[in-house]
Order: sequence, then C-alpha cells, then structure tokens
Amino acid sequence: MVLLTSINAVAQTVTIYGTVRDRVSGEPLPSATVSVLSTKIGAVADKQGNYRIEVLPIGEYQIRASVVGYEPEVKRLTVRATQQIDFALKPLSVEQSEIVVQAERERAILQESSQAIATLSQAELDKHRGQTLGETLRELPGVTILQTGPSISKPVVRGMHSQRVLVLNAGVRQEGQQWGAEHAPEIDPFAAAKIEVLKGAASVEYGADAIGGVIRIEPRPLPIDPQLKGELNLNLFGNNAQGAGSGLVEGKLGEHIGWRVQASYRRAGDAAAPQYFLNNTGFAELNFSILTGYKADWGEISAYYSRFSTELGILKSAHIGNVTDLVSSMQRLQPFFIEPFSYAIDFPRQSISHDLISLRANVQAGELGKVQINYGYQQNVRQEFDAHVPLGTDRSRRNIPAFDLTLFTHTAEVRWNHHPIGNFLGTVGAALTVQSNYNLGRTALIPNFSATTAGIFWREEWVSENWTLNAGIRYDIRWQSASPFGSSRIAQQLARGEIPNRQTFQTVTGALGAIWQFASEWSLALNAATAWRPPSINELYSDGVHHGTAQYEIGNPALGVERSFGLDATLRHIGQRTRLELSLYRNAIENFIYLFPQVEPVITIRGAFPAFAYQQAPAVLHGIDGFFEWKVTETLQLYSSLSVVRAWNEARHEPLINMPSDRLIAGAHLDLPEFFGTEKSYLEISTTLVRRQDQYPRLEVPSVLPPAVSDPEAYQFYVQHLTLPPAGYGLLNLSSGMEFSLFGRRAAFVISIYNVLDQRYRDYLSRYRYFADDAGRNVVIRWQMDF
Amino acid sequence: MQTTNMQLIRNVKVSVVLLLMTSAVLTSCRRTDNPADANEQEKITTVKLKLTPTTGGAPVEATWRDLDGPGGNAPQITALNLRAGVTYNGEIEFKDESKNPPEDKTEEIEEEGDEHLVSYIVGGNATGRLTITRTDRDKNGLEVGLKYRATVSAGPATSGTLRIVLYHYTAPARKTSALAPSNEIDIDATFPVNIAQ
Repeated sequence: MVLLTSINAVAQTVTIYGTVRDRVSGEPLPSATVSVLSTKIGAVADKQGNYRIEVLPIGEYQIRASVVGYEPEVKRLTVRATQQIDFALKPLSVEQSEIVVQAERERAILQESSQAIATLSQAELDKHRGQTLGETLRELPGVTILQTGPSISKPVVRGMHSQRVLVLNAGVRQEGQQWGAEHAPEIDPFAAAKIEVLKGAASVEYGADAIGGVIRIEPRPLPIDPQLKGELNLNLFGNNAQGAGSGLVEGKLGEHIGWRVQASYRRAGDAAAPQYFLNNTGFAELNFSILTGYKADWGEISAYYSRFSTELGILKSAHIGNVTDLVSSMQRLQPFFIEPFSYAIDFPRQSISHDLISLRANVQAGELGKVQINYGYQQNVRQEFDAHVPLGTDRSRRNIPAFDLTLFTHTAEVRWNHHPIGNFLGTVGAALTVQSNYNLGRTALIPNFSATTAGIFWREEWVSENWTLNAGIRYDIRWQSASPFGSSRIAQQLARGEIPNRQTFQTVTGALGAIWQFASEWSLALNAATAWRPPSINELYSDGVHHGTAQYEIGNPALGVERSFGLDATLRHIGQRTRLELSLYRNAIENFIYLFPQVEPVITIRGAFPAFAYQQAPAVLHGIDGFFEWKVTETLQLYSSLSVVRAWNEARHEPLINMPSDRLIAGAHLDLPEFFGTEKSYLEISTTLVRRQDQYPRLEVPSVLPPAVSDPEAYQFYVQHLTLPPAGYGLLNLSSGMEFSLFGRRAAFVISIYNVLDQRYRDYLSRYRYFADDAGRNVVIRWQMDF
Repeated sequence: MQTTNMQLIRNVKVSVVLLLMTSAVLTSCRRTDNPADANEQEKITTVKLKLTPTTGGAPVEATWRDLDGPGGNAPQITALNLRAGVTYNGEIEFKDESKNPPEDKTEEIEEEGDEHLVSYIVGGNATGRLTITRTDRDKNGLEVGLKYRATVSAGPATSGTLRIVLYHYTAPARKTSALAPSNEIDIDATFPVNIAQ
C-alpha cells in the first residue's frame, strides 16, 4: 500500500528554484544551503547564489536557507507547481554566527541515530596514529579491547567481539579469520578518515553477525581540491622502540577524476613491562591503498584497493607446553623468559595479509532517488608458525606454517534510497556474500568450508521537526558446507558423514527506533532490534590445539543459530558548555555460543593441555555506557566516559566468562595560549580506572581427579585459577600538542605519555595475563605535516 | 597540441594506477590446491618402560599409548607395578605405532643424545619411595636418561605417579652439566605407579 502511493506521489513532482542574497547588500550568497525541512533533501547555491531543487512531490513544505554568517530563514508554503522562491538573509555578527553553526551541528548529532553511536573524527584519529584499530577505539564509551600483547588487539563492543562485531571497511564487510581471540581485524587505521562504532544489534541493515555492534571505517573521500597535496605522519613509541609512519599523496586528473595513494609502515621490537621485556612481541606491518574515482553531477564511482600485511611474534613465555607449564607460569611472579630487548620475530609467530578491492557506485537516479552499488573482493591469508615440531621431525619444518588458511570472499550489495515520499525516507537493499576457506598448513584446526549468504531488507524512516521514527525488516539465508581436513576426531566424523557437513540457516530480523528531540538541547532515542549469527565453522568443527596459546579447542557440531533481542535507550544532550550521552541497554541472546574452560584437560603424549569447549546457553547482557564533557571555562574542559557490562548465563546461573571489567576514564583538557606562532596548543591529563572483574564463573575441583594427574596440588591450583580475574588498576596518561606553520605548511606535534607511573598491571581481557604483566610506560611522539 | 599532450599524460597516469592495482591483485593470488603436507601428527604414539630386577627375574613393563593422537580417544595407560625393596635396571622406548610396521624412535633420540634429556619425576605417595637415576651418557659425557636405575625402598604398599618428560634442546638452548629443563617438551607422559610389598 505504501509502495503504491509512493509511485503516485513521484509522478506528480515539481521543482523549486531561486536565489539566496544578502539582505543588506543584495550580494548573492554562494554555497548557501537550501533544505526542505523534515525530508533531508537540499541543494547548495552556486556562485551566483542560485539554487535548484528538483523532483519534489506536491505538498506543504518548510524550506530553509542558511549560510555561515547569516541568520537562517524558513519559509512555509504549499508547492503545487514549479516555483521560484528567493531568500534574503540577515547578516549576523561574528559571535552570533558561531552559535548558529554550532546549533546546526547539534541538531544533526541529536537526531543522528536511534542507536547509540560513537564517532572518531579525523582529528581524534590523528591522536591515535600508529596504534592498532583496537587501541584506537578503546577510549570510546562501551568499547574495550581483547588483547594478545601489543600487536594483537580486538575491539570489544558492550562485551561482544570477534564474529559478533561486524567491521565495515570502505563499505565492505571485513571477512578475515575473525574466529580466534588472537586474530585481530586486518585494518590499517592510518587509512581511515572516520570510524564510527554503532553499538547494539544492527542486523537489519548489516546482516548476520551484527549482534554486538558495527564498526564502520571510512577511508578519506575523493579529493576535491585540484592541487596535488600530501600528508606525512611519523610516530615514535618508546615502550617497544616502535617507529611508524604513513604518507599520502592525492590529486585530481582533470575535473572529474580524483586519486589518492597511501602507505604506512610500523616496526616494533619487544614491548616492555615495568620489570622486564616481553620477549618476542615485536611486529612489522606494511600497508598501502590506492583510491581512484570519478565524480560528476549524476553521482560517483570509485575503486579502492588496500593491502594489509603483518608479521608478528607471540610472547615467548606464553608458548607453554601443557597444564604443568601453565600452572608454574601462573605461580611465577615473572615470565619464564626474560631476555634483553630485540627486534627479532621468532617462533611462534603469525604472518597475515589481507587484500581488499572495493568498487562503489553512488548514482542519483533522478525521480527514483539514489542507488548505491558496492562490490568487494577480499583475500585473507593467515599463517601461524608454531615453535614446536613433533619429535623426529626436521626442525626446518617450523618454517612451514602449522596453520595456513586462505579465505576468499566476494560481497555485493545494492541499496536503493527512494526519493522522499511525504516525510518518509527509506532504503531497500539486497546483499550477497560468497566465501570459501582453504587449509594449507601442516595441521588443521578447522575444516575447509564454503558459505553463501543472501539477504534482502527494507527500512523506512519518518522524519519530522522533533521526531524521527524508523522501522526495518530483513530476511537472510545462509548455506554452508564443510569438507574435512586433517585427522582429528571431528574431521573423521565429518568424513564418515556422522555429523552433517551441510547446513542451511534462515532468519528474519527486525528493528524499531525512535528519536525524540524533546528540548532544544536534548534528545532521547529508543531502539529495539533483533540480530542473528549462524554458528561459525570453528565453533562447529574445531578440534585441536590452537597454536601459540596451547589451548585445546573442541567444537560442537550440534550448535544452533544465535539470536539476540536488544533494547536500548540513549539520552543525548548538547549544550553551550556541556555534552552528555548516556545509554542503557539490555541484550537477550538465545543460544549464546561461548568457549568455556574444561575442568578436565585433554591428555596427550606431550602432556595435559587446557581444554576449552564450545557451549551454548541463553544469556542476558545489560549495561550502561556514556560520556560527559564540561567546558568549565573558555580554555578548560573536563571529560569522562564510563563502560559497564553485566552478562549472565541463564542456563548455568552464573556470570558469562571473559566480559570486560567496569571502567571509567576521566580527564582534563587545557588549551594553552598561542606563543611563538604555535596554535591549538594544549595539555591533557587523564586517568583510566579499571575495576577488578568480580563477575566471573568459578570452576569446581572435581571430587575424583582426572587420570594421570601427577600433581594434585598443581591441578587444584589450575582449576581454581583458570577463570580468576586479576586485580583492578588505574593508569595515568599525559598528552600535549601544538600546531604551527613550517615553510608555509601546517605541521602538528604531539607528545603523549601513557601509563606515566609505569604501573604494573594485568588486564582481565589480556590473553597474556597468566604469563606476564601488560606493557608499562609508553612515551609517544607524533609528528604530522601537510605538503 | 597542448591538450593532446595533457590527455596523453592523463591516460598514462590512469593506466599506471590500473596496472598497479591489477599487478597487486595478481601477485597476491594464492594457490589453494596441493596442501604442503596436511595432518602432521605427533610422530610418537607410545612410551614404553621396561624394568628388569637387578637380582634377575621377569621384567616389569608399562605402556602409555595414544594411537589416534591428541584428542579423540583417550590414551591407554597401564600402571607400573613395582615391588618394595627391589632395584631395577630400566629402559625407555619411544615408538610410533600408528605406522605399520611400528617405527622405533628411541635410536633417533640416542643418536641426538646431546640434544635430549629424559626426566623422571616421582609423585604422590611414591615420592621418597621410588628413586630414579640416569645411567647413560651422551657424547659430551652428560646424562640422557634412556637407561636408568630405579630403586624402590622397603616399606608398606602404596601408589603414586611417575611423570616422564623428554626435553629437547635446540640452538640457542644447549644442554649443560646443570641439566636444566628446556622449554621445548617433546614428551610429557604420566604413569600410575603401584608399589607392592
């Protein structure tokens, strides 16, 4: 019914046009914005101050003209035929105009999304250049990280990570080998211009896996300036003697074609905990990307290629043989190996590469609206080299990876943003993902597999002055099949057909949201959404030791689809001096899949290995996150952010394992006066307070010890300490920066000291917490220059 | 003339970008056929102890066997049944019984004796009752542990465990006279031990 009326409405359309001028001087106002309120349609005036808005359905509208430095004007009128509407704007004094610009931005932020969303702009990203994606995002409310040393960090959004957090890079679903806790997303944060974290379930628009949230990474847009330009970043990290640098050059070929070439390199040695070096935690990472695109009135097409490649070491002391070693490691105050600093990357190590090609078209299809087409091709190669080779095997075989997995993924998506119909804005879309994974290594943990996922969705938004309502629905189907690789028990069962190797999953998801701007500086957003995720290949079929961590992982071929039902409420405030965002959420997950340590280790001829099995249970996660900023004076700003998650396993009546500890970040930012030609100088001090995680499942020592336990005391220690979280901690950070002009170009210099007091600590979500302290003080120097 | 030149330059630039993209994609394509050598399992499935009383008599044997490798079926372990007050000359054998015929790996370890050390750790109530001393030497005159003497002191019947660890020393790690354990463990198998009167 809605669709039918929409066709009628589109048929009767009109055009409005006119000129925007200065009321006092009568001069035209180029680049004035004319927008049709509550529709999101608009146009920008040309050099003569002329604007034109085409294909508007007949109706009553409020049309608004605005430009920096002038008081906006709104005209309310009924448009029946093509009509000229001129505006004459009143100039503002300088102070007034700043307020107006501010108000425009406020409106946009207050009504941005009915879901909680956190954004890192280019300027904020610049403060984190040279760090991994996880480290870049960790200060956002609701985001923490799961870390395996300084080189591997995975973002955790409201307690969810890996396959439950979708990463969208340049419009393409990032498909890496995300199933391992020590498999970090293959992203070069240097290439990002903007990162947004959408918190909570978002399957309607993004499909399967968006249970915990979506991380949207956008590379810089096509250059507008015809001039050849560039930017250079150099970073030095004291803790692990890391040097990082990135450079980009961009320009235009003629009027329509823009291009950019960007590359970055990071090289680090052993990180330093306060009392010792974390041996073999160095890495070498080389990334580059090329973007080219054609931009015209009808839209934009672009091609983007990026390559990420890294080689990284796994902490030498974490390469344990078995439970006995693990126990002695837990009982030690210091790691097994304490050697001098080195840049060497020895066994065990990982070698990873990720290639992405993204082709995007964004076409204005006249009366129909806008059509977006994305195609992505990704090739992910993950090689893990083990320090151990079986007895009687030539040691040179260590150079053949123990795991060698290659994942090929094609993604295609079409979205049609229909032309506004009354107050309705909407999108209809279809998406397809086809992927296959191959093993090439000496051993196998997961089988080879292929999967195809297809989905269609429809989402509508109704926009008025103070209310935005949205609703969406999606259907997805996924076929996956596994073919056995290796000789593990599950591989053999697969080969004999005792467990199904083909599975089909279908699901319907939906979402409802509302934003109510109930006062000029305040809005309230409510969102209810469902999301789903099929059990992944590793959860179904893993059977083997995960290298580098000596963890025996056992899959469960009977796992079902994970579904979540999320509710969240976000209060937003943007005032003259204060900003606030506070979200409350509840995410109920049916069939939540988690890896749980087993009391009984897996006995092998190399000793007993800690065993972890995939299990499924209903779970409920709820929490609160948000931030508060207060501009106390013109130069002093105070800020704080908070993340709290509570996660409960409904079947076992105990907390879920490995959920982030509560954390609070508080800081003060002081703008310093200009001196010697420097600008935007500042001094910042902040502290991160992390509470000990007291919500964790406790393991019981069985009354009958497993066979072949040679040391009952060590075994008891093992069971009691396996899930035990470490102590809480607080870290102090300092930062100072400035901008100045060098040879007529902008240059920026920032010095930051993280963990100023060189505090010893172990984070609960650090995979090395059984073996060593987290890294200590880090003095970082960042230098950025335009040319 | 000028415009043609400009166009030529433009076209060249575009083709360079395209060429770069194509070559980057082509060079990074991977072969997915012919896996290097899939399914490398531990090459040892079995540890066998053979202890002969110094006073003569039938030898005592115990085996630790896991034919299907890690995971899957649990290993089969037989207990080492010793008698109080008896001293034994012991041997240890390492075998791969997943092959047909089974392969004996003991000789390989003996040849690389300077890179290996077998450690015997007595646990449970057998602690103090069972003492094991290595009796063989590598080419540097350091103990290896493929041959050993097991002494059981006189006393009441009891039971405990015997854990056997085969350490592997590879450069830069070296076996020294301190006989410190290496971090590379090839075997770590625990036997139940029964001491009878």
